Amino acid sequence: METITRKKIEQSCLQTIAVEMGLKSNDLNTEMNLRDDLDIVSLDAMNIIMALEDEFKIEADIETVLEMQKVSDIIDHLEIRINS
Amino acid sequence: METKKRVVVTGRGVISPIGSSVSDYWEGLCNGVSGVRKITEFDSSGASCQIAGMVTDFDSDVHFSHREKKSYERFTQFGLVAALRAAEEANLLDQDGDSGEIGVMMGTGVGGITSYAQAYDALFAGPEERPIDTYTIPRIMNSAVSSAIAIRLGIKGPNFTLNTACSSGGNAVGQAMQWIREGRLRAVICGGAEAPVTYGLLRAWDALGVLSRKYNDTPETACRPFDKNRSGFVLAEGAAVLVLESLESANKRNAPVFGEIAGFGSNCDASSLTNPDENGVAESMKLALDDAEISPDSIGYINAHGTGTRINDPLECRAIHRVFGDRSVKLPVSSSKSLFGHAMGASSALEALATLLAVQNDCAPPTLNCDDLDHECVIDPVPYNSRKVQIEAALSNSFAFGGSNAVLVFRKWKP
Repeated sequence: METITRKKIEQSCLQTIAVEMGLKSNDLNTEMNLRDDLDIVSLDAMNIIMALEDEFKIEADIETVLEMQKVSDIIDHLEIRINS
Repeated sequence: METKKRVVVTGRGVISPIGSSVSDYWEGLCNGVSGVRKITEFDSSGASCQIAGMVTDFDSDVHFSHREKKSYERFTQFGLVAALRAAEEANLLDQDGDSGEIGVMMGTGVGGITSYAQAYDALFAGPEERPIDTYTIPRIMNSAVSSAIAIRLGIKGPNFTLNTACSSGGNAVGQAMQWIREGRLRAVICGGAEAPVTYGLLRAWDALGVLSRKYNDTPETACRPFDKNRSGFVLAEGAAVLVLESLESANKRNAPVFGEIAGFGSNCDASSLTNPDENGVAESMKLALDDAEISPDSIGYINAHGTGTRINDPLECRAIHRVFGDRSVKLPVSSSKSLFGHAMGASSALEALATLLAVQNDCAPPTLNCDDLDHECVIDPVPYNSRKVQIEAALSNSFAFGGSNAVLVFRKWKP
């Protein structure tokens, strides 16, 4: 199976967030706070995670995702799920 | 006998296929401008009816943030923008919404039907299921429209969205009037909103055999109320909102007054889910006149339900004859659906506004496409051209599937 790199996960994550929140992916970075910097609420987070689950054919842990603070937290979680 | 509290209209807002300001709407009504056009929003080639009354001048980016666009379905967006305009016209924006003395009462028929369609598409339209948008439920729910108005304006009084199919908006306006008459509230933002034009709903209405199928190449001629060759209605979208207010409240804060809502007749045929009943329809008009405490002779214009279907039009005309007797032949009776189609739960609100404007301007807007009056429709349909005529009071008729009738009486404003 083709390895999915962290870079690829990061790109997809930023792109998905950008689409969901009506932003430009170039304006995003992995250290941004989901709520304070990006105004992501639980419904947005669910949409973002479901799109990424669909793309990478994985199941994320929703409870964990809803407690995440930064973009990089989502990437970390996806990386573990994808590679487990 | 206790005198009824007077209720006046102090604000108006509209989003419609023929114009999305009150002045454009009235101009469109009087000039007989058609808002019916070919559906381009999706592929309608599999449907027998491929036309609808579509709103083409509404840019949601102008009115809403990204989050609001995600949260609010098209019908909610229409209703909210119409409500904001009505509230602005009524100078209601700086009023104390916290007091609980102002309410919201909206009507819709099918609510967030587009989001239902998108959710089912996600499940069934591809080789594999796709995720359902998490905003689907808040977008679908009918009450989103009244809630969105309250949220934006900070109005903490009673908040309802009612559904009586195609009389939803009329019943909402009537119920709002009752709240004020009872002294429960001093002002209510009320009306109807609908955005029903989806492929599934188009096919569903077509299955009932009530949509116009023969005029896909000439959409503006499709809806032909009272005409011998009528063959049904076309779906439409839009919203109309009024601010109703007690006369005391309007006077106290020097609000503009555009007319008086004087009567409301609400009843149920209690006979069929799909066929209207002449007794119930006639009774609803009588109830409205009785409620307004005016005689049929005081009515100078009727804005008909006028769907352009084989069944409705002659039945409505017979009911008018039962209430208005020999005057019915000369009484101006027109159908605004001939111009912009049938906006389901919003239609009666759009037509309430048309009726209010007719009274304000002493002008009966026309019925389009009534080239050859059906001999079973013995009325004056005001064909094609609007007519200046003295209108002291007018009726707005709405008769819905399920037999829920709503008739409103508007009276010229006299302090």
